[in-house]
Amino acid sequence: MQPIKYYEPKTLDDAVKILTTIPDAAIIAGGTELLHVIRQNCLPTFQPTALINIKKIPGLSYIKEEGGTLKIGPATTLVDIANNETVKTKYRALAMAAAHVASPLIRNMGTIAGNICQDVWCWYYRASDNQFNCIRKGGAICYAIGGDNRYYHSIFGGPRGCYAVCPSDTAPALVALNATIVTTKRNIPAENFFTELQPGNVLEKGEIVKEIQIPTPPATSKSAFMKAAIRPSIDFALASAAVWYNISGGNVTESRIVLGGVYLTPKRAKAAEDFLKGKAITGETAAAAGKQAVIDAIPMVGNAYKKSVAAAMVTKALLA
Amino acid sequence: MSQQEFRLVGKYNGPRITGAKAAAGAIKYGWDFNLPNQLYMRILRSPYAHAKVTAVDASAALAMKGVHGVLTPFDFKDSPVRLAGTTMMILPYDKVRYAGEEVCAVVADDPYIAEEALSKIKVTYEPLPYVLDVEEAIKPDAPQLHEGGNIVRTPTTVTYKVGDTAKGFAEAELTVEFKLKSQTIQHNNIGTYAALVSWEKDGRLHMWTDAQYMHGPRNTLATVLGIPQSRICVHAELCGGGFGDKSGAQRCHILAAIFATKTGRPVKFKLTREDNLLQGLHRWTCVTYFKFGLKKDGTVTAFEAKNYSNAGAYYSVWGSGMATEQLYIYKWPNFLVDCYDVYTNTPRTGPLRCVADPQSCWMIETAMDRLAFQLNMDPIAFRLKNNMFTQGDKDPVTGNRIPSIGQPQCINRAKELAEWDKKWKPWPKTKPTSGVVRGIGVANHCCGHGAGSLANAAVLVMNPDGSLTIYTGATDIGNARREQLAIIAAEHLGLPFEKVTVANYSTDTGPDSGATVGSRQTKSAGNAVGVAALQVKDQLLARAADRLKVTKEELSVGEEKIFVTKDPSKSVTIRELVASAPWIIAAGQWIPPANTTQRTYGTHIAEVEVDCDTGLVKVLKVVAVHDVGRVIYRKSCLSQVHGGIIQGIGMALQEELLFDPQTGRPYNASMLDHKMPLSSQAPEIVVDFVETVEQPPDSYNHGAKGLGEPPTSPIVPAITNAIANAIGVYFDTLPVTPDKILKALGKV
Ligand code: SF4
Repeated sequence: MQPIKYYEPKTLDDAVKILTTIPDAAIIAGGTELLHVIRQNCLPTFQPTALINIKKIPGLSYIKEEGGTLKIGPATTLVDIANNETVKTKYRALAMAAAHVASPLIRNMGTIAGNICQDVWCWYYRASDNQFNCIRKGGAICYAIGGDNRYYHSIFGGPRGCYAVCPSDTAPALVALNATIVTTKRNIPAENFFTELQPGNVLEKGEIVKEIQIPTPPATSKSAFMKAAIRPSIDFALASAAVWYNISGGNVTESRIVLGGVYLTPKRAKAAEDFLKGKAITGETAAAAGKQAVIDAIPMVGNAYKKSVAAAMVTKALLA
Repeated sequence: MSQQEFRLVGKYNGPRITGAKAAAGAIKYGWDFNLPNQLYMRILRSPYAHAKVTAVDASAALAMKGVHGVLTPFDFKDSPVRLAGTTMMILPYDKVRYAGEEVCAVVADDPYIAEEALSKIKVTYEPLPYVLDVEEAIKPDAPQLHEGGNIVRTPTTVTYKVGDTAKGFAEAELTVEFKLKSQTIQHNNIGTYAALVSWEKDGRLHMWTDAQYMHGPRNTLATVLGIPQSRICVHAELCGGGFGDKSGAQRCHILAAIFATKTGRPVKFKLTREDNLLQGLHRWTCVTYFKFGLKKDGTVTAFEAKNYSNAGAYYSVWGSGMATEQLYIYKWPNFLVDCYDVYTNTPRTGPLRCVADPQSCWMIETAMDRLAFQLNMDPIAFRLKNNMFTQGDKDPVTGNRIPSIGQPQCINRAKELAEWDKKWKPWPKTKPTSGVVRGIGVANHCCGHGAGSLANAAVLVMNPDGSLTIYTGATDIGNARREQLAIIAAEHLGLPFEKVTVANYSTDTGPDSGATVGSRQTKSAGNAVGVAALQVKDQLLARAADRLKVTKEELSVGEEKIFVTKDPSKSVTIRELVASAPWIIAAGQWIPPANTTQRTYGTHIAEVEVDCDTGLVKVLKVVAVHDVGRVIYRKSCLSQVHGGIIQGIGMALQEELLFDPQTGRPYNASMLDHKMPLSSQAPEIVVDFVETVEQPPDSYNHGAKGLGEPPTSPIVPAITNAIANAIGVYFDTLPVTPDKILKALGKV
């Protein structure tokens, strides 16, 4: 490991300046993701020479409602989001998702922007010293295809040759709640923020997440998040589901159903949304919507069971 | 002696002496020792599963500022050391045999320089074909790891034969055959291998570490360095988890001692989690082919098993194989068990909370349940039908005496505590396809305990104030060795618990009492302490008899006094008797009786919930009953059982160290992906003990048997049998993960 320079800029502008002038600089906030990648030495092309700590910049940690929008600062910790009364009542899926991330220690350190900017968690990809130089890193093959894909891989294909999944719990919740990711350059709908290719999001060089905005949903709507994992805490999702829906006259008028842990990005389940339209949420419709959510799944050899898990999470979230 | 007559045994239940300090982080483990001027050691891992090491260029590393030495395989070309059952080089000069194996080591002024230096060592490998799977490795054209082939017979891999299986199968009304496969697991001790090694002002080499055994590593270092054993002192005050992983010197300890000798500076190291996951020992994968013959009424007439154990690249001194102890539960009239160890290009193997017991217990008790399922018989009724061993039965293979057997008492008590008759329902006729279903499962358990070595020694010294100090090499690895030994001695001598202390642990302060492994020290060191305590008692009685003008036979001990049994007003305090020299000092050694097989027994019953939509299993409640001979210190007995059960959940449901067939490399060598169980997975646990005193009674340690390892074994088949009870499916492999469950339920 080479020596790394460490910066504590006073403003986000200063952070951007350092980020654009130093070639291999990286942003650090909670550090729970970044330090793992560095210590594992798992990415041949990612050897940061400088770390820019944005957690020390004043005013980047907040949760407030303004003019029909919830605004969350990028350095807001997951524990603060999980415990916030406003989030818990009006943006429930996000509070539930934040509460499901890893462990209390990690939720105390980890931030919302860091959580959505995580790279994939594939055990070949993350193995130390780049022991598996796979397609996602520019290598020749994907080890997961012929290997062990039971936990951390896609059931919706791998259009670019990589079958890993977006591991973030808050990402599907933000997509379900129709959030916008505000960066130092632009506003990006959460649904368009995530990409199949490394590093998993559309951020450009020198671009930093500045705020997360969520339109306040109507009082007639409801949202929830459910996650299945091998161990009740710590582990990434085998599959998760974030749902948001609006009810009028007892029936669903509109919904957003998003799966986590099953594709390279959060996966919007349009078929399930269409199915629910005009129907009441009952045990039966929720179960049927779960099935619809995975109707187009094309699982790998070892992970076909995740179809059932993902469907169950949709059902549970709709009924939660 | 009946339980009522004890003052302290089974009754003293004060706090653990080191407990509060350990919880507060105030205890020093291997990594916490420091000396001025110390160097830090790091070890380079092999990226290849099997490769010749043709050259090492360490010049760039050695040229770095702050680097003080590099050791390579070529430094050990001519010095094979037996570190394991297989002769294992200090560094593998001929070839590396698994990905993650130690190749080179470096010492530097700080750990960061040492880590950077590792990346500058250029090793040239000539990759060889490798084999990971045990059944692939037995094929004639498989890559060979050692001379003499991949199949070995180790001390524990042998053939066990009773009766005539051909005759037994001829009597059978049906035969059932299946193959079971367990998994490879690392101990994941909270403390990885760590030590500080230094030549001190006394001209001797000292090693501060955490270990299950101090004298073994001392002797290994003495052999490697060519110095007398007395010139080495190993200190192992407390242990950050052992479970078999710390029962001997590993390569890292030896490399640090060599560096300390070469540089003249103290050398400190702590393996990273990944290093320890790959360079520690491992509970090995067992593959076993079973064939049972049985009658329709549930009687097993014959049973054959062929076992292949994945010994990894090197097996430990204990060997691998399938534990035969499981053959001491039911008195099968005819059986033949054939065990083989097989080398593969995976990490070395050794005991993990028993040598092979968890694997064997899972297999045998899964087998028993499958047979009950086949006959649609209540699994407990089926087990009771099959003649469990009872007090007085002999070892079927050797004819040895088994001093105490409490299996029937355990299963009957567990059945009652778990409300089995109310809760057990036959297996579902059709597999459930959704929702949450419940099941209950049972498993018996037997394992060896206590002896395993002739080294069982303690020295007891009466202090002038009437207190007692115990000196022994039987280390405390979290198993309350201090409390247990103090209770045993205090009970014999009529002293209060507080007046008996076990001296600090080092090879200078206690004789070799064997490793704290094999659930043995309450029995072994406990008996050695008892032998010495009875000598101390005899001397006290002689002195008192002299003072009180009576014979020794007329005297009793109690309340720090020796008194005339018939007239307690005539007494003398122990303090008066020992206030001046000559001192009372006694050395005790316990030699296990010949032709005796020590056995301990237990039964677990588990209740589980299976989510048929996610395949996730939750263990709700466990009833655990163990035959411990005699409870000495209840607090630690309970914590052994609680810990064992939580550890067993890992083996049943989630833990496994995995290697990629495409590359031979490990891909889940981390705490996140190896998936050891979390406290949040702990079920409700109900514990009870059965006390079956050995016959003839063993008076030295008041009749206690071992309990360290047993609680981690029966929980595994109890869980998997409960899953089967819930969904009607038995699984052939461990761990039982959601993918396997949903596939079995036809949801894939
Ligand atoms: S799934 Fe992606 S990250 Fe994992 S091995 Fe394949 S290409 Fe690499």
